[in-house]
Amino acid sequence: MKYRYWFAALTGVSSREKLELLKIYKSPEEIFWIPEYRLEKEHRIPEKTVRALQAAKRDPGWEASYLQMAEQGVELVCIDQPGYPSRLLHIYDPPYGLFVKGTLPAGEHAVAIVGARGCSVYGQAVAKRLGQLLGEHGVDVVSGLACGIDGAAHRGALEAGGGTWGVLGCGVDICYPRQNRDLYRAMEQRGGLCSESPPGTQPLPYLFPRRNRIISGLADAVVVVEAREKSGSLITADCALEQGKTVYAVPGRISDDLSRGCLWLLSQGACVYYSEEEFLRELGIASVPKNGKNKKLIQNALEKNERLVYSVLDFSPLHLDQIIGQTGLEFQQAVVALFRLQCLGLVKEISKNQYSRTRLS
Amino acid sequence: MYSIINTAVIRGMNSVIVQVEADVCDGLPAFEMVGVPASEVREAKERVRAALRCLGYRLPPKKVTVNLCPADIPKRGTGFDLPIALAVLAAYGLLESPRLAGTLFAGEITLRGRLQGIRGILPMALEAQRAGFLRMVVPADNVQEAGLAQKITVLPAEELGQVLGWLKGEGSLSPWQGEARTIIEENARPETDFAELKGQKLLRKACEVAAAGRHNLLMSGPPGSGKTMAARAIAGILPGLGEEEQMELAGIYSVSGMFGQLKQGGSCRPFRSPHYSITRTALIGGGKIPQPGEISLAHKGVLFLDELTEFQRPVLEQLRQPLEEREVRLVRLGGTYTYPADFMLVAAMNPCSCGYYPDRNRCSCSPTQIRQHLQKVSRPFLDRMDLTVEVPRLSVEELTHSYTGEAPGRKQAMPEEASCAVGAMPEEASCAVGAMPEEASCTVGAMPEEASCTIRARVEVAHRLQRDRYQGEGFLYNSRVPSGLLEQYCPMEPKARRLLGLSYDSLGLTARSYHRLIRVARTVADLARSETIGEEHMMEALLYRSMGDGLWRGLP
Repeated sequence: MKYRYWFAALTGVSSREKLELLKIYKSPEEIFWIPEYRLEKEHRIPEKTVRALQAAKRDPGWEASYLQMAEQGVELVCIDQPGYPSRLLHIYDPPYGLFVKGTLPAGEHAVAIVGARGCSVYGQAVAKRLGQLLGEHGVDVVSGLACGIDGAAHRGALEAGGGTWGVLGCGVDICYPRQNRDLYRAMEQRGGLCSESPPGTQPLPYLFPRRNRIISGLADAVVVVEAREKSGSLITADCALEQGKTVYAVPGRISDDLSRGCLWLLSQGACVYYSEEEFLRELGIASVPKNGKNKKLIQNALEKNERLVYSVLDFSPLHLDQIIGQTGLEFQQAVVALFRLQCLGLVKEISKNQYSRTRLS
Repeated sequence: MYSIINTAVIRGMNSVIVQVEADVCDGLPAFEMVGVPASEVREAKERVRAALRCLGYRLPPKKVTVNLCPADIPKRGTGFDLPIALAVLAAYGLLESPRLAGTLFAGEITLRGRLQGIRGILPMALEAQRAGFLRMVVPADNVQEAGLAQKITVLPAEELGQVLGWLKGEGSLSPWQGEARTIIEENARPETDFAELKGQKLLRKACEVAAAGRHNLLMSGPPGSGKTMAARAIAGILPGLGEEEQMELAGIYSVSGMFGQLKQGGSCRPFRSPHYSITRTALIGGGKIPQPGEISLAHKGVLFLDELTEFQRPVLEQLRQPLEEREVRLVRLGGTYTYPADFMLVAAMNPCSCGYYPDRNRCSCSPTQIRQHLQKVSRPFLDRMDLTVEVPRLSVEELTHSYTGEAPGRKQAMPEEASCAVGAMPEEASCAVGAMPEEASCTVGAMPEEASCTIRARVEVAHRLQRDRYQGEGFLYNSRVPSGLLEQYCPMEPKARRLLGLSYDSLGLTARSYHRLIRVARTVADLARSETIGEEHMMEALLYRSMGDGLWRGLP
């Protein structure tokens, strides 16, 4: 196991090269003990790889980090071990090993939800609802634990009582971004976190595009909720296509920057995500009939002014002045109505004095 | 021979009487000056010599010693020229006059013998009055300032020659009568009127609440949304200054040599808006021999910090103590100087570096950039801002909204009309408060924006309520109520209390912001003339809660 760790934590050798090496030699242990000159001479291993192996062997700290890994509650699952996700076995560049906190997705269905970090409120609401929907139906939700869409999807799934998995670009012991610490904790219990990089790896920019192939690889379908024209989410979508997974895009207004990526995907032939039932049907999941009374009940509970204020609100944040302007209410009336709606959880103050709806329906 | 002349020196906000002694004796010709003179005081000897020669006095070469007594106080300023000239002449035996006693002299002189105005005449005059001097000779430039001291005869002079003539009994100096002894006219028309600010209901409301309780206000919004305009207009909705406050303010401006600016300002309260490149010393006061800073110049008025995030952080941080104590104490080697600094802080900033957050289509800042932008201002500083409002960018409709329903020709005419109506009204405003808004709206147009004088009338009522409530407490405004007395002075309806409790938990408030919310709610209730704080008042106060209290919580 020790040598597996050494081999998985090895940097400077790509995952493809690692698998190539394993085809030649039986185990990481053998690779560790084989003299360098033999590597180079007998099997024509490139010099660069040999040097990387050499450096890793001589690194005095690797055994200590191996022991530390167990203390941190991190497990290593390698490609030749039974716990390794079967979906990853079929992709073009599977990672040799995954460092895991919690578990790995093992359900019948898994969907990845990705999108912009700096997303709109609407995008957040869509991602959260989608996470909830999948959570309710027992579908594993995979994403990247980033701010914005990723976080909202995880949150939705957790709220619905489902399991959700985050694939990190940094070491699995580091919570990046830090704001999602609550999610990180919750997901250790209900789902898990995994990463290709060994614990302690700092979040470096070049790691993130690489982990996107694992996000798509762990899922049956990828849904892109909101993405700008040049977005990391599009890399995930590309990976998904390469791996033969279905890509869904949530359409947006053509004028919004945040819709451009999704619209481009749709123009390239991505599936459109427009209805929950249809989406579930296409995934081959039987939909659980939902409780339709809820919406009406809430609407009935609202007073006239509250209903008026709620009707002008949308998912793009509206300033209090705009609300007053559009409803024609007095300042005081509008304030009271807004607070009632906030207490009911129907409206949220997105940023200072700017309000938007919280629910899609 | 020996002579002695009285003058005074500024020390902090106060003045100390100083005797200028001169001694002329035989010896190597020299002009020595002792008694910790600063360099500008030391240079007086050149000015004095030239001015006296110009007036035809020939001083034989002798050893002249001038002492400024008490000798341990550092002497600064150019006011010593006149007393030194007189002391030297008297010591030479060229000037003898009974009028020298009981008179205080201060003024700078030019090489030609003209008297120039100096800083700090008002505190000097007050101190002279207190010390029992009968007369005070001042440069003609400073006469209005000195005239504020009621019980001393102020003799303005343009030339050194005039002073000498008066001392010898050959000429006369006419005492200053003082046309109007109050310097700041009540109800002066504000430079910027709220009528000029279009739309922005929330901002207007916040300004009114801030002025009514003298709360600090922070505005955040995109460029060009009217933040600066609103800040300028706030000074105009604060009620006029009382006589005591006026004197205090005049003293500060006198010490800073800015008395002239105070008069020209025209508005009731000072409005100071320093550029963000300001240094620490310029903001809170200081220097080797301390001078009042911008916060003292904004005493009883408004200190406006535009582009708050651009200020150097250490500069902002030192505002924290004066904001609590309402004065600034500068401890220097030469002594402790206390300057009053009871100002209302109004600040404006952009929500992110491009200024358009949360408008996601215009703002391309990343969440990290936005956080970094906000972090330029510290949390404790934000905690001290009682009211915070987001100012939206005006849409074209809103910009023109107030004019709709009128013929196009009318559009041009309206702004003038509004301002005339405002200009004409000040006298009536205070008496006919209730009647005015309706009148204004019929005369002016379809939907005029409320003018400053209407708002000020409401603010005045709120100030009166507070004055009555806090009689004998040592503070005047809601924003100053100590937390221990909040229960007593801010009774809440049960519903309001429940709402406050709810928000305390859900917003993660600090104890400081909790108390601040109550104070603001108290002012909102005062403006609504309500005895107790109702639920709707608390809701409004919650609208204005600080940025630190979960503003960016919802950040995607």
